[in-house]
Amino acid sequence: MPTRRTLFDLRPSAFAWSGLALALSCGACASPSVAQRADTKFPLTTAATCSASETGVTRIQRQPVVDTHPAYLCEQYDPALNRQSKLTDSGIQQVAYQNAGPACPPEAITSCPPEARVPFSPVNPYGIGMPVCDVACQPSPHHYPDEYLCDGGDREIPVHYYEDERQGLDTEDTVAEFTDHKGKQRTSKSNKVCVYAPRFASVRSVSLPHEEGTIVEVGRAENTAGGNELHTRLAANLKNKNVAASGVKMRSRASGLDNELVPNVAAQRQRPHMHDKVLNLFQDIVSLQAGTLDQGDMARLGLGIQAAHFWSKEQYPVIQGKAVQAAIGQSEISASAITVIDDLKSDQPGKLRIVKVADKESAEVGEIVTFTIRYDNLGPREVTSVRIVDNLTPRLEYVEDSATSDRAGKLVVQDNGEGSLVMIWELDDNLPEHTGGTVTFQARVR
Amino acid sequence: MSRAMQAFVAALLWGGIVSVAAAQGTNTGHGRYVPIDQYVPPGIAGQMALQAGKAGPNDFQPVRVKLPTTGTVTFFDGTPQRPVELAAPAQAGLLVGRMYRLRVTNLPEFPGGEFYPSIELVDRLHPPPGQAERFPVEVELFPEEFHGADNGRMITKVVYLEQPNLVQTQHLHGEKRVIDLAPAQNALAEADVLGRPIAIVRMGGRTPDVNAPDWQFWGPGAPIRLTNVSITGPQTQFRGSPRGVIQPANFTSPQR
Repeated sequence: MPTRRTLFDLRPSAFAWSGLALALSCGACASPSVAQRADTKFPLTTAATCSASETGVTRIQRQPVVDTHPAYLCEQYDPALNRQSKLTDSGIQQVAYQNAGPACPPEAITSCPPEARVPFSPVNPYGIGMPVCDVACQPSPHHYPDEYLCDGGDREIPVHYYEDERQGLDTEDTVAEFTDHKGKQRTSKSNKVCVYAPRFASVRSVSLPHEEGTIVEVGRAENTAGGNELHTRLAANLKNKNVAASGVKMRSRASGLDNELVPNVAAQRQRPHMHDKVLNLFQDIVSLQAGTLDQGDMARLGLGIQAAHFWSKEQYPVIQGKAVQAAIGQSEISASAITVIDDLKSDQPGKLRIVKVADKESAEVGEIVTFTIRYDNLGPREVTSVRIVDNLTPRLEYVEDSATSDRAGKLVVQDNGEGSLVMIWELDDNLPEHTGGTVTFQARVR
Repeated sequence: MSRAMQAFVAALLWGGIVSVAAAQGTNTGHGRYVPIDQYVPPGIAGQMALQAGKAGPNDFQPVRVKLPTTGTVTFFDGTPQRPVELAAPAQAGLLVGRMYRLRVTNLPEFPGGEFYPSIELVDRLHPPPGQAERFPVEVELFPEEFHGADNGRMITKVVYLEQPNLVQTQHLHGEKRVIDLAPAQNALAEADVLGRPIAIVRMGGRTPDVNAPDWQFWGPGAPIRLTNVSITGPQTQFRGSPRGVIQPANFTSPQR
């Protein structure tokens, strides 16, 4: 039975998977597909094995994936019911369903009525009359970051190295560490992925109401004393004599006299000894200056001919003119295309792009979110010592044995000191140019 | 009045205003100033939040009330004469900025006991479209709070939205997420340091007189909004009431 997914159905997951799709579109040219690579799972070995190693490094094995849960159920359009019916895993098809929102047939994507819950012009702190809207006119983590659980990016101090020691790895940070072909350590940060997961706590105070009333009575007595102080200050103010104080002020005259001296040296202007004869105005034509007859001078020449004809009409002169027009030849030579084939590799270092996505856009406390990190070497050179480092935010609890990778390597799990873990995938092999890989893990929202 | 006298009186008035404000407000030390505390009369903080533009006057914010085990939570739709009884955990939409009086009964820890907490929302959430009922403001009442109210104490709680980067490490493994303060501390300011204050919950040992309703106790009243929400909990069924409680069949999904 074919399934159809409308744009509205894809909307919750489209944002989350758009980054991965971008990574796939580039990495697919020289690397196998994600579906082929994600078919192996790298479970973390037992805690006893971890404790046996002093370094905390655990070897992970390649095992096939046990289960893959789709983020959203496929939905099918049922013309008889004029709605979309959900297909569940058990095969039971819904026959009665009350839409919570307005009807939206799948073929009417562009004419679907908007969500009325989001006001067009609510009261907002950014400006009266301006809507609190993101690109899609929806609340976003940019406006209300405290309602979202974000992971990824490089928060606060950027990740850097000081004497070969990594610094600046804050919670939420997700970076890729690698070494280029010149031996220099480099890092690339991922994007930030946010899941709507607000959580609440409270502060409280316990008091006895009658004891509080007693304290209020004492405070009122102090206020009465303040009123007496007001009268005292008024009396003190009346004793001030500002007139006597102002009489002490004196203004002194200026003791010096400025004298402006007359300059003793008189400037003498020299007359010009030379006079350059320039052409008169009536001679300022192109034919006189450049030696060529310009088209603009034809009018003047015609006027001069007419005047000469008028002045000497009694002598009946015959005027002959000859105009010689030079032929102009122009040639243009353009170089043909030059093709140079350089068989040497570029000296530019490898560049890792790292994209992080989540399979949910919202999650309640206790739900499990699957994060997928896609990395690609976009540079012309291969990179070595690739490590994907993810410092989990405190509210994300790593699910044991949920880490996977499509490339052989090790998984190192460390305590980040803030209630969560730092997960480090260390790849065994170098990462050639224009290739990439994917690592995934699951975390429980707490 | 001379100019000097006018300046002096103006200085006195300004000093009085500053002294009154300093008596109630608290500087959190994080670049923020909280002008009121949790002891302002019910409704003041909510009205200030509305004037600050944190929410619209008609914005319903779903609130979920959790009890220690089981019990009945009664919301009052506008007036005390329209109670709506719900089994805990109970969820209803409340207006931001209004004071709601609730009644909590049928607590197995307090047989026959009645408690009347109040909830005042000072902010709201902004979930993705269609997710408002799934992510309500959670108000959890703990056993020691009922014990304190039963012994005549006044419990004032400020429920705040946790800043994810400022989550207390002792609140990461299922512990009770509540911090006790001294009575003189400004709970609103402390909650503002840790996150975003959302609601003020007050609960004392006072029981209203059924024969002489005290309108100062019940407040002006405000409407509530009920939706069909399936809450994971021991008891999620609506309960009937001999005083004409609205049944769930009368409610439909909200117009979105």
